[in-house]
Amino acid sequence: MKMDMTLNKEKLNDKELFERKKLPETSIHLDEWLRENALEFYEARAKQDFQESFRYLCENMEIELDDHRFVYFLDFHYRFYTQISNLTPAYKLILQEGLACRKYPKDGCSNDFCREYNAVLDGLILLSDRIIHCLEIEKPKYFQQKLQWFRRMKESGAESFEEAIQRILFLNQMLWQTGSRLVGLGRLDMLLYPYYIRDIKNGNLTKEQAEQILKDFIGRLHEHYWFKSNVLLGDTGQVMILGGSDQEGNYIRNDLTDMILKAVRELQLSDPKIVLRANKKIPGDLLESALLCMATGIGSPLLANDDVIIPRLLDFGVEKGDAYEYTTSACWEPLIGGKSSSMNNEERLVYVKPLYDLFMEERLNRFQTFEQLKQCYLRYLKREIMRVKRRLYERSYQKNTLYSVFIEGCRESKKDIVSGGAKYHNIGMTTVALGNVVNALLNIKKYVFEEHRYHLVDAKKICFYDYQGYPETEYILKVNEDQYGCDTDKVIELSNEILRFVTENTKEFRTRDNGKLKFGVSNPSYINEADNVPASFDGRRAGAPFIVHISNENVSSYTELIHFASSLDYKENRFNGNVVDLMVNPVFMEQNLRKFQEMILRGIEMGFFQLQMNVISSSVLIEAKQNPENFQNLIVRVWGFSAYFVELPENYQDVLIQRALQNEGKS
Amino acid sequence: MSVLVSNIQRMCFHDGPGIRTTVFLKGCGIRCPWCANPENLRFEKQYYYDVEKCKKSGETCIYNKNCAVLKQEKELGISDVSSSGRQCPLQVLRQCGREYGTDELVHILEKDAGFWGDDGGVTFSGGEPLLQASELVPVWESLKEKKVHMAIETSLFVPEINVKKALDYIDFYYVDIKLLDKEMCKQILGGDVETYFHNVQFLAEQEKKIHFRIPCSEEYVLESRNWDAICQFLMEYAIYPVQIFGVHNLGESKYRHLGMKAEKLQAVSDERMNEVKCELEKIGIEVEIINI
Repeated sequence: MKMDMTLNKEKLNDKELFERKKLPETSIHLDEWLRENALEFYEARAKQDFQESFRYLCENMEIELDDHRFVYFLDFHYRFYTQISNLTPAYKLILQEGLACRKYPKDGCSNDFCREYNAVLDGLILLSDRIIHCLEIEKPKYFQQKLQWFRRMKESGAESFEEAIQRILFLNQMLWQTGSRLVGLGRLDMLLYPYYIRDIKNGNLTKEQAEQILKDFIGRLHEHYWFKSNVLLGDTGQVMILGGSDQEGNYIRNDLTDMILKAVRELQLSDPKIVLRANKKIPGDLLESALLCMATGIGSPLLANDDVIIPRLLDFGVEKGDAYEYTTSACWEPLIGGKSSSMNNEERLVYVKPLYDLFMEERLNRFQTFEQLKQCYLRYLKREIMRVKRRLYERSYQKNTLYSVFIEGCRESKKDIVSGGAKYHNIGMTTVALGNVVNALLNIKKYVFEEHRYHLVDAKKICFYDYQGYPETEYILKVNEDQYGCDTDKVIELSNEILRFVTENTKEFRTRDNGKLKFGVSNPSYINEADNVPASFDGRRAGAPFIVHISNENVSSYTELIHFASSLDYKENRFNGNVVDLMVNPVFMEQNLRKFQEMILRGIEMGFFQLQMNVISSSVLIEAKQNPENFQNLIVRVWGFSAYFVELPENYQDVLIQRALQNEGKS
Repeated sequence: MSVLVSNIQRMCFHDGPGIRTTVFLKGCGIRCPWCANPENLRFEKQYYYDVEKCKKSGETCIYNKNCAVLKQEKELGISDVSSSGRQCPLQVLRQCGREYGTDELVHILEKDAGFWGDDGGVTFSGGEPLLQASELVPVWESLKEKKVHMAIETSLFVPEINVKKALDYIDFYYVDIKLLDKEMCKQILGGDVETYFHNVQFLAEQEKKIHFRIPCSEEYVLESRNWDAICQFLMEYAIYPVQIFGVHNLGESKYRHLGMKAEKLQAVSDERMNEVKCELEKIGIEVEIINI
C-alpha cells in the first residue's frame, strides 16, 4: 500500500474549523487553503491504489450521527486527491438495487478493474455496516427508520421517498469524501418521483410531509458548502435539474418539480442550486414560479432551453433517449448525467490573447483591409487552439473506481471512467472574451479602416500604454454602436464567424479515448483569466475583467440581448454552455413580472441557449460591500452559481456593482 | 417618403398590450408645460449638447478641433445647431431626429417581432405621431400586411384628415386628456379644444379601442376649472378606461441639453393620485394609476 499518511493530531468538526481557522476573506483556491491551514491531513493519495485507499477510508472514517432526518457526514481528516470533477453519478443505480447486487459475480470478475469495482462496493457495504452499528449504539433521533434504511442498503432497492433520498445522500457524501469536485445532483424531480408517488398512493406520505423532507434534504446538502466549494465559495456544482422535454416535445414536470423550486425559494440558501429545463411549452405557472424564485435575488434557477440544447446533443451523437435526460456539469455545460465521464470544463480558450499576439508579432503596416487583419487574427487564434488541444490530449487522470461504479457503461465495458469506460467520454472546454475580441475587431474595422481615425500602430500603442493619456479613445471604443450583445448583422456575423472557426479547428480533435471536443462561450474565468491579459482595443484596460458570458448592460433592451443570443450559432460542437446573463433591478421585475415572464417565454421560442439573472439593485450591493456584517445572507449569481455576496473576493463584488450601476443607467 | 423619428425603444412594457416596440415621432402641435419629451416638439433634427461631458481645452474640443457645436455655440445657441452631420464620439453632441425610409424603419421595428406574441406590437408615440400620418401610412401598411398589432399615443390635436388616415391601421389608441377648458387649452397648449372633442367623438363613432391617459399636475390638469371640464367630458365617455399618472421633472436634463428651459412642476403625491382615482371612480370610470 503506497499511502502518504500524516496522522492528525487534532479533531475538529467543520463548524469549529470554520470558526477557529477563519476562512480567508478572499476565498479563492479553498483547496490550497485547506491543505495549508485547515487540517493536519490524514491524506490518502489515490494515485496508486484507489481500492486500497477507499477501503481504508471506509474502515476508519469517523461516523458522525445527529438528530437530523438524514444521515450525512464528511470527515475532513481524510482527503483524496482526484482530478474528477463536474460529473453527476447515476443515482438511480443505488436506488434500484442493493449494493451487493451491483457487484460482478465471481466468474465475471475478469480484470483488475472488476476487482477494484467489487472492492469499492465492499467498502461501501462495510461503511454502511459501521453506520448501522453506530446507530444501534448511539440511537439518535429517527434511528429506527435510519437503521432500516441502512440495513436494506446491501441487498435491496429503496422503497420509500425518504429512503431514496438517504441513498442519494450516502452516495453523494462518499463522492465528496473521496475528493470529487462539483458533484451534480441530477434530475431529482424525475428520479425521486416514483418513490414519492408510491408513498402518496399508499397513504404513507402527504404533500406537506414531502415538502418538509425536501427542505431537510436541501438543508443537508447546504451544510459544508464552504468545504465543497471549488474555487470561489459557493462554487459547489451541487445542481438539481428540474423539468424538461419529453421525446414528443411536451413539457414534463411533476409535484416534486414545483416542491423543490418552492423549497429553494423559501429556504434562501446559496446552495444547492437549480437548473430548470424549459421549452416553448413550459407551463406559465411554473415559469412564473421560477421567476419569483429569481426575483428573491437568489440567482437560481438558471433556465436551460431544451428546444435548442437537445437537438445539439443529438447532432453530436448522443442517443435520443439519453439526450432527453441531459443534466449539466456543475453550472451549465450539458452533460449526460450518470452515463458520461465528459469533464466539460477542462481547458479554456481566451479569444483576446491571439489579437494581442498579432499586435506584438506582426508588421501592422502591411494590413490594407480589415479582412486581411481578421484572417490574420484567425490564424493566431488557430495557434492558440492548437495549444489548448495539445494540453487536452496530454491530460491523464487518476482512476476513480467509486465514480466508475455509478456511471453507466463502466460495468459493461469493465473499464474505469478515466479509461473511457463510460458510455460517453467526450471532453469540453470553455471560452472567454468572445465579446471583447468582437468589440475590438469591430472598433478596428470602424475607426482604423473605415473612418481612418487611428492607424493600427496607434491602436497597438494605445493598448500598450493601457490607455494612459488616451481617455477619450478609451471612452469612444466602449460606445461603438456595433458591440457584442447588439443584434446588428455586423456583430452577429463576426461572432458566428469566430465561433465556426473554432469548430473548424476542434471538430476533428479526439482524446486518447476517442472522445470528441465541445466548447461554449460561457466561462467562469472572466476575472481570473483577464488578470494577466494586457489592454484590448475594446476599451478594456490591462487586467480588467472580460465581458461576463453573453451580457451587455449598454444594449438598449433585454430583448435585444436575447435576440442576439438567439442568433448565435450553437450547432456542431458549440453547445458547451452559452448563458445569457442579465442584471435586473428588483423594482423593475416586481412592476413588470407578467410581461417579463412573457419576454422570457418568447426568448425560449426564439432560441436562447441558457439564461440566468441577478435581480438586485446597485444600492443594495454597494451597501453590502460597505457593511458586510448587515448582509451576511445576501445571495448573488456569479459564474453559474449562487453565492453569498459578502464571501466573494472584492473584484467579483466590484464587477457585480458595476454591472448593476450600468443596468440602472448610473454608470 | 421618410419619417422623422427621434427614438426607437424596444421592450416597452407600458405602451399598450403585450411587449411593444415604441417609435417616437418628432414634432408636436401643442406645447404642454409638463412635456417630458421636449426633443419631440420641433419638426426638425436637433442636437443634444451635454456640456458636462464636453472635453475642451480653452474653446477647442480636445478630440475634434473642428467640432461644429463649439464653433457655433457662441453665435447660434445650442438649439439652433443643425449643421453638424457628424455625431460626437463622446456623445457630448448627439443628433436627435433621423429620417427613416419605410423599409428601413420596418426592418428595425421587426427585430423584436419574436417578442410581440399575439397582443404585443408597435406603438407610435411622440411628439404627435398623427402629424406625420401621411408619411407613416406606408409603414402602417407594411406592418398591417404582417399582421402587426399597432397602437398610437396621441393628443388628438390634429386635423381630422390625419385621424382618418390612421383608421384602417391602428388597433389601439391612447388618447391624452390634458387641458379641456377652452381658454386654458388655447393659452397654455396653443390648441383648439374643439378639434380635440371632434376627434375623440370621431374615434368613438368608429368604435375604436381607446384608453384615455391623464398627466396629472396640480398647476394645470388638476386645476379646478380644468378638472371639472375633464370630469364632465369623461362622463360622456365613461365606457373607456382611464390611466392616470403624476407628471415629473425627469425631462429636465433633456431641456438643458437642448438649450431649453423646463418649467419646474410640483410633484404629485401618491396620496393625491389616489384621491384623483377615487374621484373618477365615483363617476363610474375604470381608473388605473400608472408609472411612466
